[in-house]
Amino acid sequence: MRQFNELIRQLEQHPEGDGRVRALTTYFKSASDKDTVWAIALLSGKRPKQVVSINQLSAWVIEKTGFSVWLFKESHRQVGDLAETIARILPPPDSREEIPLAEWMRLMISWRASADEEQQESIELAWDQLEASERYLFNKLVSGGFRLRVSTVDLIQALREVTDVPHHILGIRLAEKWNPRTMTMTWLTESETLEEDRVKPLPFHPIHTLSTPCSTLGNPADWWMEDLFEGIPIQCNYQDETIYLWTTDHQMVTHLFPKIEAVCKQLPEETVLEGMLLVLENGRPGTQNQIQSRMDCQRVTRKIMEDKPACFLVQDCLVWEGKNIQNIPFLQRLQHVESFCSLLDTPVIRCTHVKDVGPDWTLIEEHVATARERHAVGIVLKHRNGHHGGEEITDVWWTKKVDPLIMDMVVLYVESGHSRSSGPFYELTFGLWDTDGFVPVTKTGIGLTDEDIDRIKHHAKEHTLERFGPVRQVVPNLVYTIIFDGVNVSLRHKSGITLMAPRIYAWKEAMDVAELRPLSDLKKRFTQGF
Amino acid sequence: MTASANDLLVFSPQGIYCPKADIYIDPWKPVQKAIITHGHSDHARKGHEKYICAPLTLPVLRHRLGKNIQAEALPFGKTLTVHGVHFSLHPAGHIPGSAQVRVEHKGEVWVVTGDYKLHSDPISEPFESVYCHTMITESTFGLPIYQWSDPKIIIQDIHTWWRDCQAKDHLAVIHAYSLGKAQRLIAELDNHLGPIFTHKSIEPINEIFRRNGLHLPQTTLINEAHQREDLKGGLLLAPPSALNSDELQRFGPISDAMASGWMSLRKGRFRRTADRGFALSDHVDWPGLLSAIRESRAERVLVTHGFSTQFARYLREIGLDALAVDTRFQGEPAPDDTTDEDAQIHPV
Repeated sequence: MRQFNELIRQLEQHPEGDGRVRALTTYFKSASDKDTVWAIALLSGKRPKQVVSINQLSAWVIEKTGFSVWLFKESHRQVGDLAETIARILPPPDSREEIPLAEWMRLMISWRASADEEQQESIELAWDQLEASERYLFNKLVSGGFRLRVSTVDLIQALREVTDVPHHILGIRLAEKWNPRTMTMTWLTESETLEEDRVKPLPFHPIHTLSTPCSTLGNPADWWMEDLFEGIPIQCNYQDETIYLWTTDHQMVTHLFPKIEAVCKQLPEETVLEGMLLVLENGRPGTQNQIQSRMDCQRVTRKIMEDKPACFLVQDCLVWEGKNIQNIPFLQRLQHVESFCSLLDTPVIRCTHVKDVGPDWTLIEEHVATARERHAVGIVLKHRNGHHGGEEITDVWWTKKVDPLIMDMVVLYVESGHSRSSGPFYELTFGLWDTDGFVPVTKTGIGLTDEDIDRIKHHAKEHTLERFGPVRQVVPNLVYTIIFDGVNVSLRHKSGITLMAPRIYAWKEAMDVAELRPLSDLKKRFTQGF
Repeated sequence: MTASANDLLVFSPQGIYCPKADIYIDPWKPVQKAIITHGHSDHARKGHEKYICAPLTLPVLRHRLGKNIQAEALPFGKTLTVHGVHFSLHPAGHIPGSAQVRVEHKGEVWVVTGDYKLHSDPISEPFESVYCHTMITESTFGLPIYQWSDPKIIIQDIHTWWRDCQAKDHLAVIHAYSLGKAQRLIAELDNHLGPIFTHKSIEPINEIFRRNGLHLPQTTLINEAHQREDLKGGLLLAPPSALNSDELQRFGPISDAMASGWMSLRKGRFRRTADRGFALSDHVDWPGLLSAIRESRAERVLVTHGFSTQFARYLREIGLDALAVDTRFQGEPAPDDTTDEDAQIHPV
């Protein structure tokens, strides 16, 4: 339990990214195989059902310590969490026998069948052997309240570092249904290579932003365009009656999208498609946040499928009925999918709609500019004869994004600090006029120059109204131009909206706050417009 | 039980007061004569006409309150008699020089603990149990959820963390109160691991303690000229106010930690933006409070500073005559970092 406890401490210290992978790798290297399997299970959401309720544990700890209920309640009020209160209210252990995580889990599961008195006795014995922070974890685990998760991507990356197993095998293994009680590391890491090479994702098609004028691409008649939507690139591989839905980072997500899985089973076997996973809102493509939150759902319920219906937007075909067609012209590859999708006629899977660019490049700009009306964020240009996976100019898919939206806002709060990864940072909260004064609209530090930081430092020094820890409320008279990609309606925010990908564009030196347009103006212009 | 007007000590608007001798203990409003238990700013306030304190506290008061204060040292165990009331100071174990105040009149004994702790450390005079009839105790950590681990284990944890920082090439920064906690760390940390650097609010206190006979390993005051490379592998002690401020950024990347009793709870650790929290406290914990009260053989306990209502209620439950002293007694928090912050950042 000591090692697992240290892992949890590290994970809590690093809410995301490299720090998490490092912590996991360190743990996997030193923990036994059995402990590793349990740690993976617990951190990927496979938590065992509760053995004893947290209220029962509270009653037992009150009995054991002899404290009055009011004193336990007062303590709970200070701590804010019952599992931690129980862990802390007991005296430190007399002896500390190290029992590994897997053994604790085995014990806990075995207590489920025991009578109340036996459970109580076992649990009190456990408390006497654990140090307070281990006891806290123990209480969480035994009461079914352990909720810390790490992303599959981080798990795969850390396992890769200690096992050498290919990404896709780990992706498949983690996505499968398995029981930590019976699973072994061998099963997790051994693969029947021949079988499973066929199911692994092929390299995804390169997509780049076009930073030069379209004319540099050559003859417009050779190019096709389609709308660019916000979603997650995905490959669907159908082999041996099994659908493998792969993300670019080797997560296998089939189990999260049962409807797509069912529809894709109507494909011919040994077929690989590539496209985007979207979430539909009123039948229209939703935002990046929406698809991301759908991906984060641990269990896919009917309600989730109704509220956040997913759609597989097929954009390419790589293998059709066992035949690799990556090297035939793009339009021919697409024809396979087009006919398949039109036969199915379901909102769950759609074929991308490609259009002729036309005789010259002039129409492109207009098409990009009107993207928002079609719920798109830009367009993708594809050469009719491009090969899949190639890096030639005619192979690559080129994106052109719609210009960002723009709005002048005033700085309301300044937060400064330093982060572990990127050193010192400044984050500003920007606001707009509402009926009774300024309302915060968005928060960002992206795009600040050194001069901006000096200016803000000075401003915060001279014009702070109030301090809340690292945050200063400042006199609202510093105006900046903010650019962003869109507006979402949000009931949780005071302003009623959130901005997508906000960043700081420029300081509006001459602008007076009185000239700022009100919040209602932003809402009207950007939420009703499309 | 209520405090009566004939009590040896009373709780006046200025603080704890002995009417018979006209002397206050740790008052927060200016008075004529004040006995000061220790130098933290919520106990040692400006503006009194005369200060009486333990010898080691005297230079601290002069450093913090001004050279010209009128102050007198009363060595531990020596008696000062005023109008028939005998006052003496006894080690409280909180920080070097911190004292409990024993007050005796015609055989009746009261003790004001000030802040105290029972765990020993290398520099503070160990807590001395004093028999009394009435004990006025602090209760900063007066709930059973506060039970300290052996400080040796915590120091080991700090060593492990320091080595990790060295391996990552991060500067290890521990935020600790300038008076007391910082020096305790300097004395307890293994300086073979690397050099220890100090912030400008800490080093003057080190100097005062060294001049007055405390052994503190060598430390280096950081200055403007110091660059990142100069501090490589070292550990920097800084006050909590330097957390997330710009002044240490030039030494980055840094890993920072807080050393405080409040770090024992998860919310204490998450509320602070430091990477790590070490639950190293200079205050007595729950079992310590109970044992100190038992040892003192006090018949009556008055509880101040902290979870006074809850702790007094518990004491009554186990059969003691106990009363929480009106929380107004706690005075106002001092905004500067010279405060003993353990007593200041009360979780709400």
